[in-house]
Amino acid sequence: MPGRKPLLEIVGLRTQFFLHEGVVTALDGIDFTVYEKESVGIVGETGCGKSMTAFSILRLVPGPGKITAGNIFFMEPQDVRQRRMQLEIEAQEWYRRSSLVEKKKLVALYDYRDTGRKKKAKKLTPAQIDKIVPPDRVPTGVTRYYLAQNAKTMPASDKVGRAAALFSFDLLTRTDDQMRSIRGKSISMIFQDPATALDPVFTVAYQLGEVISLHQGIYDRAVLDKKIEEVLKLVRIAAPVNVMKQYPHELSGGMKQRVMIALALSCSPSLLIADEPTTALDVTIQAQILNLLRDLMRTTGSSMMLITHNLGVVAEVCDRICVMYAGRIVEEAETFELFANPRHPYTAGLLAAFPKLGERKDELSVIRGTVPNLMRPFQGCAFVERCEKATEVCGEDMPRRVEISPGHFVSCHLWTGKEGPNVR
Amino acid sequence: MEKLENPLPFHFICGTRPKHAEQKHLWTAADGGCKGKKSMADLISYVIRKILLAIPVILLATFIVFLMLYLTPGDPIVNILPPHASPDDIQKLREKYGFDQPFIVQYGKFLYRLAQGDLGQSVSRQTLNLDVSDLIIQRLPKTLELMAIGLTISYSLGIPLGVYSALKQNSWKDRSVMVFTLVAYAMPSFWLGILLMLLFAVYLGWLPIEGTVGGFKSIILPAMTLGLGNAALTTRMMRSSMLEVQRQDYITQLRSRGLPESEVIFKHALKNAMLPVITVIGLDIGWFVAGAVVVETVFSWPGLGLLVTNSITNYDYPTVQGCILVLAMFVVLGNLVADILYAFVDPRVRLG
Ligand SMILES: Nc1ncnc2c1ncn2[C@@H]1O[C@H](COP(=O)(O)OP(=O)(O)O)[C@@H](O)[C@H]1O
Ligand code: SF4
Ligand SMILES: [Mg+2]
Repeated sequence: MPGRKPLLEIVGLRTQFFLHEGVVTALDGIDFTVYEKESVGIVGETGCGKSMTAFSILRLVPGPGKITAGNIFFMEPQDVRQRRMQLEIEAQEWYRRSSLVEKKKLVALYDYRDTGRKKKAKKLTPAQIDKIVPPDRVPTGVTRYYLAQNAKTMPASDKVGRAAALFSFDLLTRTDDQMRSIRGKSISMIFQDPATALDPVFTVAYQLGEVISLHQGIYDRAVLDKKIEEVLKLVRIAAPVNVMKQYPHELSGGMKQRVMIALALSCSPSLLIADEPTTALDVTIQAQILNLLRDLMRTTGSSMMLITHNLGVVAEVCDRICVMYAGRIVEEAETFELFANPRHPYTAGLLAAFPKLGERKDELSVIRGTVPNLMRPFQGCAFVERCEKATEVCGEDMPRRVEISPGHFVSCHLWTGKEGPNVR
Repeated sequence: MEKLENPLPFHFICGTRPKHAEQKHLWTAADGGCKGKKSMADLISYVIRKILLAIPVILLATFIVFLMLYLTPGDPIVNILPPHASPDDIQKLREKYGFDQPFIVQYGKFLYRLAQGDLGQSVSRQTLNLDVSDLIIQRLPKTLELMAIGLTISYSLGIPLGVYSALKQNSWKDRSVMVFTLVAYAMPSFWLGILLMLLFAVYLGWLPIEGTVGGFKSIILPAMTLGLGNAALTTRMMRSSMLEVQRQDYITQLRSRGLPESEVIFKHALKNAMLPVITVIGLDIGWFVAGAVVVETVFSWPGLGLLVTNSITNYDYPTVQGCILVLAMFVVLGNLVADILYAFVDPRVRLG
């Protein structure tokens, strides 16, 4: 999108769980961008990795899970971003030019580091190498290797260059302390179930006060109380002073979710991640909370990443939609464009299953089959078993992400090579 | 429940204010443990109600013990009189103390006297005709001392160890703590007492074997014997509770707000994880009463427990009854304290 500043840029993000039974690839190379002042919806069935995307951004992937590849650039200045993209192209060139022996070494290194495989791959044919590292899409491991070499030769005065080469704005290069000062302050998150997401033994005021004093350094009681009251008013709580004194169990579900939103917005974050914020609520309350979120996003000018499995919700709130399937983003487009021209068979299936207003359906059309097991590595498209338009190639090659019209990306072999006219 | 008039501050009940709150003045008018929910009047009426409800329970305990003593063959009179006393003398004395009367009459007399605040006189040879209440008052501080230190050991060991274990889940450190707790809990306290005695008193000679002559030193072994088993139990409970709490959404949510790990763990998770441990403090005190009887016997610690065992062997009914009365009160009070503590720490619970 020309003219808009990216706030969060996720490139090739992969998150895996290392279990006794094997490796679960919850996120398999995700790319998307959240621009400033926009709401992006992430849609997909349960278990496709929506929450993991959110937790990965905050670097709070639980348990045996680890982010194994990719970048999460956050609030990267324009000049650094341009320089970094330049350098990435250079890295790609450099990789393409390097000899087969060197490639092998690099790929083995990358394969070892970024795919989480236990052993280094020994013998690789050129075709295998190209499969692991597609020449047009050199992954983080290799790029970072090249850039790190490059950064050493840069003069210290070249701050932009060094920041670009060292991925300084990549959240994955942050220390834990730096991450903590980002969480809740620059990026905050709302959880699905407000009933379990508030600490039951502290009052609303205490929990709000805690965040505000942590990120804004306000410790004075009166000022803090005033601030808490303001934030509660912001989320349209009628009697903030009363609610402040209450414990979570004394509040209704909708009220709790308002408090959660207050907690998330108390430090005016640039990005709000809302993970199914209305799923656990009554239908009437859902609408209220959605309206509230939409209005707050408009007035504060923050960006929002709205995660849901409900297309109706995103249609109402979001500017742009990413459709996820089995740990990958299969289609991304502006809301209107996506509803008008769904290109990926999975998106088309979702939309067909979604009853339109005023339309009566005797039977909901549901996509046949179930979500595949994420423990098994996919050779090709993850949707192949459920897809009615699948061809031979679908089971073998992973479809590339192509931009079929400006801002409309699809990963499907039906569309590979059919990039739109005014797209690079 | 009417609006609060006279709040009992949270830290008054719990002993501590969160450090964080004090340092940063976060303890605003609007938070606090019990404000707005539990008033002093509620508390007092609750306590009175609980105590009234406990009276029948305590009496039942004395009744059962009395019955058991009555049914056991044997007689205090034989112990009081010299071995060559004539059957006539025995009979006379028996009549004098009323031991010839039917069970119900004897128990009725006990109740009648109890209502007047009289626990009767001892009928064992060493303490013949002394007031039971005097005997109890004389022994009570020793038992209280032992239980207090035992409880302190048990919680000051169990809680940190449980938290540590949970934080190091599945590491060798965690495993060794778990093995230790298993052993400590499975060991009968009299055996543990004897082992500790052998090691520290006989073999190393650091601490006195028994009695109270060594001052503070002499309480260490009995208190440890009393506290270790419960410490092991507390450790396990604290560990599982902590692990459970750490899986909760609100802990992840707190992390997502950028709270430092120390606050997430030691303020939020710990406070929530303490709740189940607090609920069993009442039960623990019950166990400690039972444990004290054994430990005092092993270490000849002159408390109520030793008094009770000696009195039982001497068929000293009045003394046994008096002691049981007091020990049963311990259990009831323990439960009461735990209920109140729990209600003040967990805002979801109301007294009543
Ligand atoms: N603790 C875990 N252990 C193993 N796999 C997990 C774990 N948590 C999540 N996953 C995997 O990540 C996938 C995505 O989960 P999630 O992001 O929660 O899905 P959703 O889209 O419903 O939010 C799941 O299908 C599962 O395979
Ligand atoms: S790549 Fe093939 S299997 Fe996958 S969605 Fe497209 S047509 Fe279907
Ligand atoms: Mg989810």
